[in-house]
Amino acid sequence: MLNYIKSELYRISHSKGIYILCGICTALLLIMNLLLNAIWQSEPTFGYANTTFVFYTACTFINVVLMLTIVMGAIVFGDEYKNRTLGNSIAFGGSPIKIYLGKIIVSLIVAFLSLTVVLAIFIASSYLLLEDSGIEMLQAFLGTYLANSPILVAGLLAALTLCFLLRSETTASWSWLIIFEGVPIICLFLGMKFAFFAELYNWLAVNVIGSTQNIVGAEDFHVQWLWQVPEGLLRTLLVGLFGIVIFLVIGIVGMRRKEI
Amino acid sequence: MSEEWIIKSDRLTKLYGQTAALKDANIRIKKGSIYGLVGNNGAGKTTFLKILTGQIRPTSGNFTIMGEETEAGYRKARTQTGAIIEMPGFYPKLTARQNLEYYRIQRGIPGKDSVDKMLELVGLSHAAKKKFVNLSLGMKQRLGLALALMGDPELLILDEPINGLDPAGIVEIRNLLLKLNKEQGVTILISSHILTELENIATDYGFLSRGELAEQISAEKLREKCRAFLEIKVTDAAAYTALLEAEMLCSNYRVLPDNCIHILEKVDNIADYSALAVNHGIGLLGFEMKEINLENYYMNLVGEREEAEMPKGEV
Repeated sequence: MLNYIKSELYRISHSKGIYILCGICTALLLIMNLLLNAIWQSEPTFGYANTTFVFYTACTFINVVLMLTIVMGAIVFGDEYKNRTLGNSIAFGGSPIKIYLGKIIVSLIVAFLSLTVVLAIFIASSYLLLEDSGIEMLQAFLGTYLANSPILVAGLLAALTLCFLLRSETTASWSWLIIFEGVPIICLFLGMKFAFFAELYNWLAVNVIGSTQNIVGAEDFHVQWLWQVPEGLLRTLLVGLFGIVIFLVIGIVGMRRKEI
Repeated sequence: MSEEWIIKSDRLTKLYGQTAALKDANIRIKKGSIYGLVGNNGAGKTTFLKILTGQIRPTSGNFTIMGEETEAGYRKARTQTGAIIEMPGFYPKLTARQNLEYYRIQRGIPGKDSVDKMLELVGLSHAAKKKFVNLSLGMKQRLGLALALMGDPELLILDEPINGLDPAGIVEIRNLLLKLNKEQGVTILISSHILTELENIATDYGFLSRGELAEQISAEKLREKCRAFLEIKVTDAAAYTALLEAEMLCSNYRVLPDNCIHILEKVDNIADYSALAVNHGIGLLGFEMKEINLENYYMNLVGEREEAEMPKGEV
C-alpha cells in the first residue's frame, strides 16, 4: 500500500487540479482581505477591517469547506474508471481494498496540506492587511476547524467512497449533495411534524458543522460555537466519527464485491 | 506449482444475468508458449483475460496462475504479470513518461531509468513529454505495451495489442514479442482479431465461440489440420453433397452460402469431383484447391458448432 500511496502522491503533485483548487481558495480569501483593507484605508472608521471579523467569517465558511471535499475527492479519485487506470492497478496485483484505503490516506494527506497552506496564507495576510483585534477569534477559528475536522474527514470519505462505488464523479457528486444537503432539508421539514426527524436533524453533519450557540451584541461581538460547550463538542465529534465509520464500512464492503 | 501450465482454468464460467460471457472454459496455457486466443466479438476473450487480471470475478469454476489459486496468490502472481486489457488506461493529463513513472513507483520497480528504457524499447522516446491525451492511437498502444513490459514480467496478457498500429509498428511489436518469448522465456497470452498476425507468432491456440472453448490446439497440430481443401461451387449444393456421400463416400465437407462446398478430406484425384457434378447434370461454377488459413479454420469451427446447436430442420 505504501507504493500505491507514493505513486498517488506523485500523480497528484504532477497534476494541476490541486494547485487550481488551492489557488482559487487562497485568492478568494486574499481578495476579501484586500477589499476590507482598501475600504479601511479610505474610511478609517470602517468597523469590519479587523481580524475578528475575517476569522469569524472564515468560521462560517466551514460549510463551504465541507462541500469542497467533493472536489478534493474527485481530484484524488482521478476519474479512475473513465481512464481505465484502476484496472491497471488491479491487474498488477493491487488489492481493491488496499487501493481504496490508499486513496483515502492520500486524500487525507493532500487535504491536510492544502488546508494548512490556504489557512496559513489567509491568517498571515489577515494580520498583515487588517487591524489585529485580539487572539480570541483566531483561537475560535482554529478550534472550529479542528473540532469539525472529523466531519470534514467524513465528507471526504463519503466523496471518495461514492466515486469508487458509483464509477462516475458526476453521479458521486450529486449523491454526496443528496446525502449531505438534501437529507437534512427533508429532515427539517419532516421535523416540523415528527419529533424524531427534528432530533435527527440536530445530528446531521450540515447542521452540526460550524453551528453556533448564540451571538451576543454587535458592539461587544461574541459568538459561541457548538463545539465550545462540552455537549456540543461531543456531538460534533460523534457525528464526524459516525460518518467516518459508516462510509469506511460501506467502502470496504463495496470494494470487496466490486468488479472493475 | 504445475510444471507445465502457467495458466489453467477448470469449468470457468462468468454469467451476466442469464447470459454466459464465458462457459465452462477449460483453458491450459503452457509456460513459455505464445497462446493465441481467437474469437469473435462477444466470444469471451476479454472476459477470460479480465478474470485472470482480477478485474472481474468468475461466477463458478476455478483457475490457477503460476500455480496460485487463492486471491492472495493471484495478486502475487499478478505482480509478475504485464497486462493490457482492452484500451490501455492512463491519466490523460500526465505525459507518457509521468504515466510510466507513476506505475513504476506503484509496482515498486527499482531504477528511474527503467521508464526511459521502456519508452525506447517501444519506440516512444520522442513522445516522452507528450501528454497521454495528445498521443495517437498507435502511440497509446505502444505506451500500454511499455507498461506491460516494465518490471520484466514472466507472463504477458495482451488484449488486442496491435490495435491502431501501422504495418511497420505491427512488425516491430511482433518481433519484440518473439524476442521476449525466445530470449527471456516470457509466456504470452495474446488475443487478436487480426488472425493472420496471430499465425505469425502463436505456438498454441484457443478458439472461443459464444463463451465456450471450441478447441484448444498447438500451432503444429493446427498446421497438420490446415492442409489444402477443395472448394467447389455448383448450381445445386444439396444434390451434389448427396452424390458426394453416396458415390464418393465423402462425409467431411462443409456447405457454405451460395452453393459453395468445401471438401475437407484428402483429395487424391480432383478430376473425380468435377466429373461427379458434370456426369449428373449439376452445373459446375467454380473449382479450386485452397489452403486453410487460421481465419478459415476458425470460421469452419465456429460454423460447425453453430450448426450443431441449431434445432433440427432449421436452415
